[in-house]
Parts: sequence; C-alpha cells; structure tokens
Amino acid sequence: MISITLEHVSYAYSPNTPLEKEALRDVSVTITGGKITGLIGHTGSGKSTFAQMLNGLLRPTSGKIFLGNQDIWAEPKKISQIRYRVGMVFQYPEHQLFEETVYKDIAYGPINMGKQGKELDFLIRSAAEFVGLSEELLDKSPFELSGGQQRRVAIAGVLAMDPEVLVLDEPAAGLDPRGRDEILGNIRTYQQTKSKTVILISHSMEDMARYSDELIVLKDSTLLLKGSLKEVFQQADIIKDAGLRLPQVTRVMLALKKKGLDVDTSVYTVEDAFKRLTDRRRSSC
Amino acid sequence: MLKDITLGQYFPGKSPLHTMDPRMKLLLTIFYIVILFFAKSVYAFAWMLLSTFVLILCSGLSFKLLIKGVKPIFFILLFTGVINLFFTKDTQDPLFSFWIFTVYPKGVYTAIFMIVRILCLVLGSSLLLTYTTTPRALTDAIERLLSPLNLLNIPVYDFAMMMSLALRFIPTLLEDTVKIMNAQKARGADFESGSLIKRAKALLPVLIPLLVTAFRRSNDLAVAMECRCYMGGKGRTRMKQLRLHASDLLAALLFLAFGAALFSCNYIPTGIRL
Repeated sequence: MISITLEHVSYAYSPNTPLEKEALRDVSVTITGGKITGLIGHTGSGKSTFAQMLNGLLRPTSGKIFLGNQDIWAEPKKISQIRYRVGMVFQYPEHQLFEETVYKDIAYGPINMGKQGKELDFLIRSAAEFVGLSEELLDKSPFELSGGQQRRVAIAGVLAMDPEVLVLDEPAAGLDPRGRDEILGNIRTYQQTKSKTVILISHSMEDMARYSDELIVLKDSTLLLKGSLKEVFQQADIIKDAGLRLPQVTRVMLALKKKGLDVDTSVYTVEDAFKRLTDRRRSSC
Repeated sequence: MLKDITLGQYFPGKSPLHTMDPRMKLLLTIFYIVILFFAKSVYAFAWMLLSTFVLILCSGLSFKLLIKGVKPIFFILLFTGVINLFFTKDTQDPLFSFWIFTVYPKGVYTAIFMIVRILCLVLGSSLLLTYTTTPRALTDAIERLLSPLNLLNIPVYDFAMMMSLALRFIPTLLEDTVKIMNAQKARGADFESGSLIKRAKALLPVLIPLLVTAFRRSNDLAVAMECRCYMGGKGRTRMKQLRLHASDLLAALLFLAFGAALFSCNYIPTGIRL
C-alpha cells in the first residue's frame, strides 16, 4: 500500500518559448495508499498531465514527486523502474493493441520487465481473469474482439505488470452502461483483493461516487479540493464553480430538502438513496 | 521530439508574397527556376542575387529564419563547390596545383556560380511557395492549374482531395503516434537504447497500432463524407474562389522584367570567360 506525494509540482508544455502553456501550477497533494482516488476536473484542467507525471512520462518543470519515500526523478536513467511500479492505462487503451494473440499482447509489459516461464504465464492468466477475459479468448487475435473486450485486454496488459499503483484515464469512456459497470467493478475488486493504490480519472460524477474513496478536484491547472467523497461533495458551491456537478442523485436529494423534506443530503449513489428513502418511509409509517 | 516537426514550413504573414494568388505563385516559381538556368555572366549572377534579396525583403521573413531553412542544403552546397573547384579543366594557366588536384580560375568561378545558383534556387522557390503559401492553398493551385486534364478524363479534383486529406491528417497521426508511444513506454518499451535492429524492433508495437488507427480514421472519414452525400468532384462549387487581382498581374510583369534583365545581363561583356 504505497502512497504518492506531490510537492509543489508545476508543469509547462514547451517551456521558455512563446508557445509555453502551463498545465499544472504548484500542486501539493498526497494520494493515499490502498484506496481508490478519483481525479476530476473540467476538460483542460490538467488531469491527464497530472496522471502522466505519476509514472514519469512527463517530468515536472519544478517540484518533486515521491513514490513512497523515493523521489522518482532521483535517478532519471532508472525511470523505467518507476514505470513498472506505477501502471498507467491511457484513454482508449484498445488503440495500442498490436500482437497476434491476446495472450501475447498481455505479455508485452511483463516481458519488458524481464519476467519469464511460469511466473509470466501466471501473471498473464491472473490479469486476464481480473478483467473477466475467458480462457478461450487468449488465443484469439485482439483485432477480432469487440470494443469492450479489446478494452479489457489492454487493461489486462497493464495489470499483468503487477504494478503497486494503477492509474486509469477514463477506463470506461465510450462503453455502454453495462460494460462500464463491469470494468469499473473489476477494477474495484482488483483494488480490494490486492489492496493496491488506484487513481481513477473520470468525467462521470456518478462513477466517482460509486467507485472512489477519495477525490482530487483540479481547476485551471491548480488543486481545488482533496478529501474523502463526503468532504468533497459537501462543498457543492466550489464543485459547481469548477464547472462540475454533484452526482445526479445528490442533486435530487438537495432539491427534496429545499422543498421541505428532511433528508440526508450526503447520499451519492442511487442504491444508497433508495435505501435511505425507504427506511424513512418505514419509520414514518 | 515529434512535436518539433514543422509541416510544409509555412510562416504566417501578411506580406505581398503571402497575399498573392497561389496559382500565380506556382507559375512564377517555375518561371523563376527556369530563368535561373539561363544566367551565364557575372552580371547575370549579380542580378540574380539582387533579385532574390529583393524577394526576401518582400516576404517580410527574418534572415535568421531563412538561414535556418538553408542549413539542410549546406553540405550539398559544399560538395558542389568542392567538386567544381577541383574538377573543372581549362586551357588557361592553372592558379595552383598539388598532388592530383589542379585549380584553374574557371573552376573558382564555376564553383561560386554554382553555389549562388543553388542558393537562389532554394531560397526563391521556398520563399515563393512553401514559406508563404499554406499547404491547402498550394493544393488548390495545383488543382486549378491541372484542371485542363479533366478533359482527358483524369480526375484531378479527386487527386487534389486526396492530397488535402493527407495534409490534413499528418498532425492528427503525429498526435496518435505520441499517444501510442507513451502507452507502450508505460508498458516498458524502450525506444532510445540498444542496437539499430533492436530499436527498429521496438518500433513495431507503435507502427502496428498506428496503421490500424490510420485505417480506422480513414474509414470513419469515408463514412462521414458519404453521409454528407459527397459524390466526387464533378459540379462542385468551392467556398473560397481563387481570383486573380491586378497585383498578381503586376507581380507577373515584374518577374518578366526580371527575366528580360537577366537575359540582357548575359550580353554585357566581361573579362571572365565561362
């Protein structure tokens, strides 16, 4: 259960040129180990830049990033070691598949790490199992699969490297509601059984409410809020100001309260709301 | 790394060269290149240099920029100069000679003239075309100039469309490449170390997804175009009509004058024999 700490991290694209563009400004935050941390923000708020710094794909223009106690840029030549420890699943990861079979594609990462033999086979098969890929799919070409299955293969390719920290950039983008729930559910199970540190980027407040423990909110390249779901969602005004919305069901509860119904507004999922409301009805009868 | 690639090297601006009709620019570039090869005397070469200099001033681009643009051909210039210097034979007395090399005065002149000619050629054509014309305007110009070929049942419009689509997608594919490279780097790919063969092999996990992406994009585009009833070139009108202005004709006249002057320069007697 390793945590990641950012200390005064800033990042600018093409620094010292007329095209300089600041993507992150003086961000200091700790991502708690062993939890799912949701990263939210409006388009262009710096989410993707933030994510790409965590595994050393981008080097901060200033500031430091610590993985546990280790400064990840202490030895720039060994940055690939950091990349093995912090797995990164990009947006639309199915666009990076290239091997002849699903099995070989999942094996790409672990082979680069130097894994072989039984250990390699075990890593591949357990990763495939976590994302819900059945055995017979492993020998198929990834290009024959449906979009949702391709996504699973790509995610398995990163899980197979058995990283300590997993960063996922919109893992459910473009999937139907069922595929969404399945993939995010798989990630939740993976995180819980292996007690990994997971960072999840998403636009959907509903997904965030359902799957993450803590939230980081970015606005205009700076850190706006960080805290548990409840802590963050209670600051409705600030969230609105960042161009984001509370989960739909929370907004319903807030509206109910405004109409004079005495309900708890710290409710973020439909199931929870349903339970609260039915409990209320029962007790009032 | 990949972000640094500039495409077509177009530099935005509002100079007379920028606003000229691209068709006229294309024709004048061809004219200019042909004329350069008729220069035969010192005066003609001096005139050529002067005219190119005037062209630079007209473009409003900085000299620093142009020098950067000429850098890639530096070795070609050097090579041409050296070859001409040492391997031009003449009946006159040699200037000096050592080992197997003999240098004649004619060789010196030829070397200098060659370098000046190539320099003017590159500067002139890039100033007139690539630096001051957007790739799209250039495609338009080519299409219009080749449109007589339509009569021979050659689908010029379709070729032009393909060309502009290709140009349009270069930045997009570049972006895709960066994305895929990052994704494979995150899975431990190493593009920077190892032998040449190892590095070439390391690129395979980038090239295959890139190819797949390119096919997917072109398929999407084809479907989208079809949905908007794209039927090919026949009878299509255009949003931006190219029109010749008085200034374009003036430019043509100036270039004709430049050509005529260059020809006359050839007949001014000089002491140098070429």
